[in-house]
Amino acid sequence: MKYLDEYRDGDAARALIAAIERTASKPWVIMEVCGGQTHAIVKYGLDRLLGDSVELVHGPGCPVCVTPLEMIDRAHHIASQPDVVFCSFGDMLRVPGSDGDLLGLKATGADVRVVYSPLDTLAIAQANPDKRVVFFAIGFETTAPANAMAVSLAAKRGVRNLSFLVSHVLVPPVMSSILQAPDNRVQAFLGPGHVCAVMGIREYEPLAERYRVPIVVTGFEPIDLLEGILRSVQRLEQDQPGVEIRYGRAVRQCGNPASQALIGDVFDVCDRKWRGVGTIPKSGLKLSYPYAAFDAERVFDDSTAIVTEEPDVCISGLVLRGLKKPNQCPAFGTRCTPDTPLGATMVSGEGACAAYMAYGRMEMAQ
Amino acid sequence: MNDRELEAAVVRKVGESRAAAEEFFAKRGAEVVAMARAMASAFDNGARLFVMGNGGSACDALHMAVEFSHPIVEKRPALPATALCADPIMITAIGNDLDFSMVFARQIEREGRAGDIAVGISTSGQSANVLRGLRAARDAGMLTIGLAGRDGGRMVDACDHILIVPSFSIHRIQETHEQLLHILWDLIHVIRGEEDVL
Repeated sequence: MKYLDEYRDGDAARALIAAIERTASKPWVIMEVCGGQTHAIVKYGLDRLLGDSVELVHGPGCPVCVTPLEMIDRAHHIASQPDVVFCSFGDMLRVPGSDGDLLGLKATGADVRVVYSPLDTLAIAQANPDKRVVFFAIGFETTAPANAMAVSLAAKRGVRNLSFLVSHVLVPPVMSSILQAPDNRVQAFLGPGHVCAVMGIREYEPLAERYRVPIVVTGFEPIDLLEGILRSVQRLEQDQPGVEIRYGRAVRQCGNPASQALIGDVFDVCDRKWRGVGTIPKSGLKLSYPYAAFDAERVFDDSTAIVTEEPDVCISGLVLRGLKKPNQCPAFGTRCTPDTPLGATMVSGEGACAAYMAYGRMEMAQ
Repeated sequence: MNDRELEAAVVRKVGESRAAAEEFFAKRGAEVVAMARAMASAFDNGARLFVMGNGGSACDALHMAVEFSHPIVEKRPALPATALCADPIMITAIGNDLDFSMVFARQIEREGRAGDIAVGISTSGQSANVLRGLRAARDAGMLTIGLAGRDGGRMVDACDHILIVPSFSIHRIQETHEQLLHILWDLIHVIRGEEDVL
């Protein structure tokens, strides 16, 4: 398949790995930001093939994984109300809250629906005028334009029974948070390809300069990732921090200005709590004032306190910051499995723990 | 830390501050001049200056307004300047009735006219109320000026002229902004024909 097979070519991959091993004069620690990149790395065994020259650590680029428990519980609270149709992408349905998940709530009779696009909720709301329809709008900058479009269209069409429970997060602030941490080991990043397709690379340049790290924006196929790793190692060896695009078929320096304008109109930047990481200033998006009527947190504002409790044994926070690997968790593969997940990194299709389980890293946990 | 270490820290921090400012002005001198010329031209045409910011940047906004409206050099004319963060009555009324993100935009919509100048100050470049204020200013046909930090955030697209201090330290950004507002005031008067006395 054109534009796919060549990026999965085994000979090309082996040549790149050999080049990486020749170039690295010492072990380097590189973090891939996106959950999709983590899955490709684990699926194709790239981390094992690289040997000692590069240690790949997994980043927090799984929006499902970093959605705070309070937000999950708030979603459950809203979804459990009798006049509500609660819509979400499928992967959020199995993320455990303090008391079960949305799928379990659906089984008790709540109207919880999977949608494939936030725009689908417009039709649902218009078809159910006596219901309050809510869309769970999570994600990084990648999904923000589509969610912004849905909000904008809802406003233009006067769809008043639709609201959005927003929990968007931004990549550059969490990268900054990781780099500032006293226990940080990350020396370079494989930058988020699809986030940069939307936002461009401007926000990453001050990070690279301030913390003197290479940030190589890559895609999600094995050749993309290995090219990104090679360039990262070359830059590290030459002490050459900076941002570089190695995913030119999708990413331009300026990103997508139309998407950025729409995001800028519909969303304001806010502080955001990240599950397993804590609150990071100016790291999230919330609906801006002109769209306040579509903000589910205002529509369903009540004084019910959301008290959350994370399972003690779950180390997803350490996994998200690249400090631990999934199979270093005492519950990995035993108490915590895809069928009985304790934390979001096992539930989400983009989570590192789910990747390790899916691609046969079980033996390392024994 | 003992006293000697603390004294060394003082010297180090002052050095960092000086280095950040020197690097900024060395690289951005032409942009500072361009910004000053645009503002001078606006003042020549009867512009009023409106400045906005939050927290420490609100202090800078107040400072900028008083520099322009009550000049320290006797011979230099006072120029009309208002800090939009100076009136707690308006801030609390708009913040309470609408949203805190609208506290500057609403004032701009009421007071601003085409040809006036709006200056937004934000160390992150992401402050929602500053951004909305700048957008309201642009919609009103005002000259939009930004003083920001880090990568300039969303202010880059909202300003006709923007100066970004590329630092992650709020203190270093604010210190450079403080020098910048003094230099801008001075350059504007020199461009408008005043003697370069400072």
